[in-house]
Amino acid sequence: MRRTVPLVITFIAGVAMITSFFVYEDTLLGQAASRVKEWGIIIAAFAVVLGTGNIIRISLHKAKRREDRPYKIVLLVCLFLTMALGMFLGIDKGIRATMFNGGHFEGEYNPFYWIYFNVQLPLGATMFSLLVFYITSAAYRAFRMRSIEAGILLVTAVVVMLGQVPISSAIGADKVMTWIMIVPNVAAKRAIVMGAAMGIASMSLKIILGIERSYLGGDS
Amino acid sequence: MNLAKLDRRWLYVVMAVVLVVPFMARIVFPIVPSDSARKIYDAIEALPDGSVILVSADYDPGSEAELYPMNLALFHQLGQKNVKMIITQLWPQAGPLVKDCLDKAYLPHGKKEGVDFVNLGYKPGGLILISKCNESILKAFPEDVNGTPVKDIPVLKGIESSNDIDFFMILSAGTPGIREWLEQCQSQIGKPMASGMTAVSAPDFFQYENSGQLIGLLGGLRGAADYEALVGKPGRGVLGMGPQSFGHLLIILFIVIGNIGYLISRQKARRAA
Amino acid sequence: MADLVWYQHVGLWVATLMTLAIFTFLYKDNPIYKMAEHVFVGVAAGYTVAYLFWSAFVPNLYRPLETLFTGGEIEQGEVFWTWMLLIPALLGALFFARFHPKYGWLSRWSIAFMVGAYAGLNLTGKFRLDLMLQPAATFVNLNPANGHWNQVLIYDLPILLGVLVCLTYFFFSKPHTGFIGVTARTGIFFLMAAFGASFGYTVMARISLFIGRLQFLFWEFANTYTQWFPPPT
Repeated sequence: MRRTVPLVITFIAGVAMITSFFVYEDTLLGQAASRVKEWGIIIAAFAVVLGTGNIIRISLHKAKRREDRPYKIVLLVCLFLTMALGMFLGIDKGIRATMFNGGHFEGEYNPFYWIYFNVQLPLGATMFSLLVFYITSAAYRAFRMRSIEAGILLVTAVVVMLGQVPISSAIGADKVMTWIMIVPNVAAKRAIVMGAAMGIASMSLKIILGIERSYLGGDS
Repeated sequence: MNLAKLDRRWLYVVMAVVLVVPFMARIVFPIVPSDSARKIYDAIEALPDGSVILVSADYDPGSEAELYPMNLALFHQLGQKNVKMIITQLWPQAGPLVKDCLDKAYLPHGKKEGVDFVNLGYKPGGLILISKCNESILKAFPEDVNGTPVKDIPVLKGIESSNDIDFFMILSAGTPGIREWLEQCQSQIGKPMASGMTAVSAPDFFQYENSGQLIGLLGGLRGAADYEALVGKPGRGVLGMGPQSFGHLLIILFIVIGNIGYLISRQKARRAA
Repeated sequence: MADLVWYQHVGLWVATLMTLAIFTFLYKDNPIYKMAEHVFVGVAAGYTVAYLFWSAFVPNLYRPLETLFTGGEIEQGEVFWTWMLLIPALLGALFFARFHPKYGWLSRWSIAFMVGAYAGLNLTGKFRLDLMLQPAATFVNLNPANGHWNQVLIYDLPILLGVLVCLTYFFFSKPHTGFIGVTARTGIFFLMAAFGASFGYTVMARISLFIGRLQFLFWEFANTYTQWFPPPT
């Protein structure tokens, strides 16, 4: 039960997806495969919620053990507040009449929307914008031309960076950059994806046939 | 002062100054759009009246700086055309950003929801969702973002699956995104597809432009600037290229200085040995 | 001051303070940054669940099942498949079994479905895209249309050679000596050029994200209270 049923489910799901590639939807087999895809959309939704469940479980555990307790409490408060506002008032700019709010405050500005634009958006965007400083530090301290290969990498990087600058057309750097992106970049990336695709195809086949079982974890 | 041991926070200050000063001075360089951006623009302009374009906004706040200006420019262009637009999202955080773009760039052209465009919203599933859309978009998205059943939406009359779409424009920040659309949609049904993406992922997709599977690609803020210039609505992209250029020059300078220092210290070490 | 409602003013200040809180990390790790980080994780997780609820659970699962119990209109032939939606609902719910110490193994059934589905789609999708269409595009037409030999000599042939030498580098079943060694080393040069190109684009991406924050701080926040930094019209 613990290992056989999952292997059978993997096989059925995998074969359904492969079947849908070759068979028209109006056949019986195609119909069944198509329905399995609809199930996949629903199950994927649960998988995303599982991630949130894990965050809640770990935060509660750490808060109980007094590890970063104030921060974990803030995390949980923000999580439940945002979730409650979204579920009760809807996810639109204006509050929508939902099965939870009976139409009260319909049309008013939605606090859930406010949280997205004034909390989530600036925080998310700023987190990633810190990277410019780390790349500056790395460019100064770490990028060294220790060999011919590293030299090629750095020279190409410099040419590409110059080529992105609008005034680079005056020195022809944009044309060199275009050639670099179209020739060596395409050649190398194509070789990489071809190799990766072979690996993924063989791994996928092994998973569907039950030869590869590491995704099931250890016995518990 | 030993430059090699300089506190990294001074480097941060230099980078911040080099970006802020040109930004405040509003230094603007003339933008010569790339061939790739021009191909996308021309392909969309050439769409006959009544064509159907699917725009998939697969990004989030972390990539908003690059993809939101592209989205705005694209909606400005589509607002001036008589084509039907279907909007989807594979990332949940894209929803409000797309609505904001619609309010600012598309609806002011007199477009009506349900008649000229439909926003089908977000669905999870990535690969599975795109593959399902090849068979039936209406079954993958039973309702639009407002909860209206898709069978009641006029703009979707006659549209059953991805095969009924004339052009795909994918704004992609990662996974799921343009790679999944190429794998499950373009390579199987062969419809024209173009993409705007973050600069981090752009180098990985030139091969698909080379093979003809992508009509063109817009990479990062430069791609956004190119498209704004083509649409004639300079905005965040065009104005961002000034500080962008100075930032690039600073990084190049740091690489050169760092390597000069490295070569000198290596020479000294060899002489000492 | 721009014509804003009170909650828009509050929102601007909150957004600006959140932005500056994250930037404090550049000096060093501190409680303000940690608090902002935890707020972000909490809000992002709560947002995702709420969005999923209205985008996926309600339209794809709840409403079809609701029509069964309320006697709503169902298309012919759909009644059976609507009842079958209980299967993905059950499989999805089984994901949460992993939190139970005794019945955690039941979550493997749900994981198995997702892994199998993605394996099946990847097998066909990647095979077609990267193992059929990409190699096909690498072939060089030695009889170019209109005699356009420039395209062949400057682009197509170097790409073909580049793909071959890079593939040689990844072939580890033979030692990289002699002719194979020279070819593999040429492959490394192509790979390094590609990685350099990726680095150049990555630098552009990072700088762009910071410029995006500058645009918010100056055009939206500072301009609201000073009118000194008008955004583009």
